[in-house]
Amino acid sequence: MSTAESSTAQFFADLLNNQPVMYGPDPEINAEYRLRPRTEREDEALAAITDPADLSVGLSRVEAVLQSSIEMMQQISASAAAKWGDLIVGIYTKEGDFAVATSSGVNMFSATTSSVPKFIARYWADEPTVGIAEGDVFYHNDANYGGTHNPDHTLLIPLFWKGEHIAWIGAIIHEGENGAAIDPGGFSVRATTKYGEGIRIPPMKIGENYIVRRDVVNLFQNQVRDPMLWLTDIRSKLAASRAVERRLHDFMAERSPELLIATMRSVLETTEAEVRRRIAAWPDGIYRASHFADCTLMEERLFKLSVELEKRGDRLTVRTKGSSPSIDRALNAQAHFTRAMVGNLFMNFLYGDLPRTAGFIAALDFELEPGSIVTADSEQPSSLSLLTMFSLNSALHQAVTKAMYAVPGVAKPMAPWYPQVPTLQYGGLTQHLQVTANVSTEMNAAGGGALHDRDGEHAAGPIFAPVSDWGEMELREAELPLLGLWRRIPADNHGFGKFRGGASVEWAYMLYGSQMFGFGLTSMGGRFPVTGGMFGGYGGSCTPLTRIRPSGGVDAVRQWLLDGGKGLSFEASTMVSSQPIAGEYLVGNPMQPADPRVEGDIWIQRVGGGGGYGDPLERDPEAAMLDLRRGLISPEVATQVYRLVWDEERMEADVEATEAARAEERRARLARGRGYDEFVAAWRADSPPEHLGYLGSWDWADPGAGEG
Amino acid sequence: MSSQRIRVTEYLEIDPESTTWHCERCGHAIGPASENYKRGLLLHDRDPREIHPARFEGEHSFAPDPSWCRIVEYYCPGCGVQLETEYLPPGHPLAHDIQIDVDALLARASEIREGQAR
Ligand SMILES: [Zn+2]
Repeated sequence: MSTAESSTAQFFADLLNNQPVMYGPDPEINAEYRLRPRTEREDEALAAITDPADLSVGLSRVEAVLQSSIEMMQQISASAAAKWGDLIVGIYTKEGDFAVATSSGVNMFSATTSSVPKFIARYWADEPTVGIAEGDVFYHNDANYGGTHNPDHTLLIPLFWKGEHIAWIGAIIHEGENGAAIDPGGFSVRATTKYGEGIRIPPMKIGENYIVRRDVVNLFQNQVRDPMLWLTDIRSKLAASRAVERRLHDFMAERSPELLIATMRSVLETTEAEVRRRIAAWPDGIYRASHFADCTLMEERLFKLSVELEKRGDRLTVRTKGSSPSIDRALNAQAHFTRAMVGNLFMNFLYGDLPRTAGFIAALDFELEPGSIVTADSEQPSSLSLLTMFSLNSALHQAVTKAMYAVPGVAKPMAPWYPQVPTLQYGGLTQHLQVTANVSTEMNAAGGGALHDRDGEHAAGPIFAPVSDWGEMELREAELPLLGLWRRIPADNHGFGKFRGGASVEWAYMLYGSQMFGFGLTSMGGRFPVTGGMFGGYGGSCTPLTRIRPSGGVDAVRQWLLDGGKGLSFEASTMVSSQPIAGEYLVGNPMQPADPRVEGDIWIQRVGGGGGYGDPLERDPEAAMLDLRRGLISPEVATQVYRLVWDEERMEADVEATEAARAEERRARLARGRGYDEFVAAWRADSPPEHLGYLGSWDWADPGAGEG
Repeated sequence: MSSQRIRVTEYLEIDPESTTWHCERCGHAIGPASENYKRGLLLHDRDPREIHPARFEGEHSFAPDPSWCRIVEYYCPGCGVQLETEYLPPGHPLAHDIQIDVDALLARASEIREGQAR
């Protein structure tokens, strides 16, 4: 054979032997959610532990190291999201299982990034041009390889000790700009394929000997609108990881590498075992819930997220059949995110006392139907997958509460939290003549769900980051061309019930001091509430976006305020109904691409409240009265929902009259309520109403439906 | 005796003798525990604007859109307590939300009782 012939033969041989021309996401790694089997080294390390107390010492030490490192990273990073808690630091076993995460930050990353070191180990360890050595720096943001969505950037370094690869150290931050084709701020609202979502970095080496290659970073920087953010935060993540490395070196010198290895393995295994043990106490059975999301980023359209939990013994199988098929909108979520969302509920709402590890999802079983919006394939756009996941959470939380109610253990039966994160995205030229693009943090003011024995917390925090903050309006005004007009809790912005959900806030910003600035918003819940209720409690109300464009622009607003701001009600709906300043008033679904605004434009947003728990007629009349006095509920709701009777002058409840009104309402319920079959005969539609553009199952013969 | 009944949710319990669902508040027998408890309740299709008030005429009034979203309310036929609410698009199948394994539940309950007796 000639050389040409042999190289052609080699080419076809390679092709047929499936030698890849490119490495894509590994379906096998992505499907993994169990812990890797114990390695020999782990067995050895565990056998070396003579006093189990050493393992607790090891865990405390690792947690302290991680915590001090995340606090440092929060201070030195440039990401706005990092400031309020959208970050994490953690360590993974050498095999790649996420062993210990900081308790603050987005701890579901511990359930969704194990695939990143696993990919690196499988593809780059033996690749002669890459390899894994002490001092290497790896980076990743493509959610198809792990993580939640592309704005979350993972930096990983291998931890070595005397030439042995012991573990991986990871630092993850939500970076608010990825160079998406149309939309600034990391969320690609208008992307219809993944190619519109900006830079996607598969797990790759970006530096050696602890030095990040400047040309590689420069490549990244040239793809995005905020190159400074990228440079600063690659450095801050590396600094945080190195701080962990240094202190774990101290730990291994002082104790032993075996103790670190044994600690990681033991945390993973004991967390998994403990989650199973707690689930085993729940009654066996099948529990179901669905939730409906009303916007697909570019159009109002109803799509379904469905959860079925099957609990047998110590196994809990999570299914999502019936959920919407995947779509050509950035709402698709990869299956690993779906599993992490379940992990999130267990970590943050059920068992906050356990360490955050990959052991949580390893304790569960998943049967996720392929082709759905919660099991996206790697070609689909997904940068706003979180919206879908948060909608799923509403259903998940209801189903889990029903499954565990009888034997909750340390968990508390609870109505769903407000799950959505109404993200105000912004970008443009600031009053300081700086180009910026990012997201604002009021979205973190979500109302907490009502509990079985008390009301939910107001403006408590987002479902995925229990320790977080929603930022100061004054700081935002100093940094951005915005004038804050108000922030307050409006009436009826939570779920009603025996115990009410936590309420949340409305706020208004006016564009001020820049002619080149845009706002956008990615949320939903303009027509269909985002939060459901629990055991007879009601869900939240709708939270549309209100925009006012005053005729006469910013000068007209200035004059209006100078004249005393007549009619300024500090509340969107009354502004819309009374229109105190001449202009255009628009109310719509809280979904607006980040487009340029005009100086003087007023942008009014709401975060929703948590779901209510139990029959509102069982609410303590004095508690309902207090809600009314505080303006948490309107007189309309006090009367119609709580059947509260009160003295309008003294604003005091008339308990006796309230009881009588409630008794009457209970009789009215008995009179208007219909038996199941009679109700279904009138209610049932065999297909969804046309105008909903509905996506998902609608099957009255399904065993999940009432007919089953 | 309601003290022997097994509490399953805020408003539902199961009587191990008769294996029936009961209202936790009034004791009303709702139906066989092996079946969907919702079949033994009273249902009402609630216009969501009666619960979440509209702030003005027209669309996006801060209330759920009644052509997109209804609230199915479930009442106990005995005492009228509201046990459940379901936010659904009009005409959507009702969820069979709790399908408890009654045999396993009873076996567990008697295990626990024996454990306590010892
Ligand atoms: Zn009853």
